[in-house]
Amino acid sequence: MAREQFQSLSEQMYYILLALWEPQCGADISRRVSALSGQRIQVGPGTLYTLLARFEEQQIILETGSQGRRRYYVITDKGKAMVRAEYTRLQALVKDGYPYLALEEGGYHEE
Amino acid sequence: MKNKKLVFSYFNIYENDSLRDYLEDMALKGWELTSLNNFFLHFRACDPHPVRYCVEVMKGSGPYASNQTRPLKQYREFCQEAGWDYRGTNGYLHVFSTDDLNAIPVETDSCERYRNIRKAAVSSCLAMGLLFMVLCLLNLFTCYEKRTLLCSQGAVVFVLLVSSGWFITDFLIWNQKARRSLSETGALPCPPWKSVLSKNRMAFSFALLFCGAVFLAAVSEAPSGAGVFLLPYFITYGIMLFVFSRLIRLLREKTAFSKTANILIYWGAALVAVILVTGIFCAAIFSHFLR
Repeated sequence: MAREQFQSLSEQMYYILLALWEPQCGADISRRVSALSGQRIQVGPGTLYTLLARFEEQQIILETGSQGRRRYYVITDKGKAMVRAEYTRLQALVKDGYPYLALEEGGYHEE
Repeated sequence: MKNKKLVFSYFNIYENDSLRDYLEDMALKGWELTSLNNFFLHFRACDPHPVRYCVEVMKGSGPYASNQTRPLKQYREFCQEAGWDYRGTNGYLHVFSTDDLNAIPVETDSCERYRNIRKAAVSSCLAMGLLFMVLCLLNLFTCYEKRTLLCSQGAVVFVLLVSSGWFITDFLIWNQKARRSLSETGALPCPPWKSVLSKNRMAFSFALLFCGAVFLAAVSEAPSGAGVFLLPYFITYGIMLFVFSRLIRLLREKTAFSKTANILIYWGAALVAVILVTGIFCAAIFSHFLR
């Protein structure tokens, strides 16, 4: 889901930004997202274009150059900070849920 | 054997996924979409084979918005790079196709799709509502002069109100279903294309029937001798509708003017044409009676 203020990132956004740790063009980003997520997340070209345009507008990514019709993008420091913030948020979610959910699976013992 | 086919497009903006299924069925029957415009879908014969289609509402597009803006061109280039061929647009709906059955769909964000479709449908309803309101007011003015609603102008008002009611209700029902479907399944609803086609064909047939009845009422009300001008008058308007649908397509596909400029050119030309045609017919009727 595209979230207006980027307060939290959707799965698609998260993986696109991860894929852009190195400069990539549209088709490469799509393939990289599929590979990174173990084929769980797929990003269509239309959705990718919309998100990249929005990211670029917010200076979360930067266009590094183009080859013919292919345009290459890379994540900016602002974008990396956003991904790190999301990573921390997700870690907190996992940590908070662990005592309850891991217990159900029989793998948690409070010390 | 006929190798081209022209089919009237009965699908509304929010029935884009049903249109997609319809196009995929047509490909299996040996008809490949070549282009589309405001009213028709153009097919050409091909070997029956599976083709995948995507019918999307692109942000920033519309009947008056140029299709040659940088963002829309880049959007299409992204799709082409991913293997999707662009087939054309009717203003709101943009059609892509591919022979790769495993290709990732053009849009994979259902919420974004919902927002784009809803925005386009609302803007289309508003534009139609505005046009219908102007037509209603003009006809109500004549009714007021005649001091009765039981005349052909009253019937026009009735038809316009029923049509508006139908469009708005149909859209609201879809909107409600879409919100429910998004929260329950994460996808937009996609009713079978055959039921969508039947529903819209029925509505269209009723509209045509009403228009026919209004035309007959207008002929019967016209002063003797003036009725003969009505048929050419309506035919001229039919031709004008065709010419103006070509004009808007030309503005959309061949120029990169702003949306405002396109609206001004289109409606300015339409206003001039209506005044000219009405003037010519009024002059012809007056000269007929003066003779």
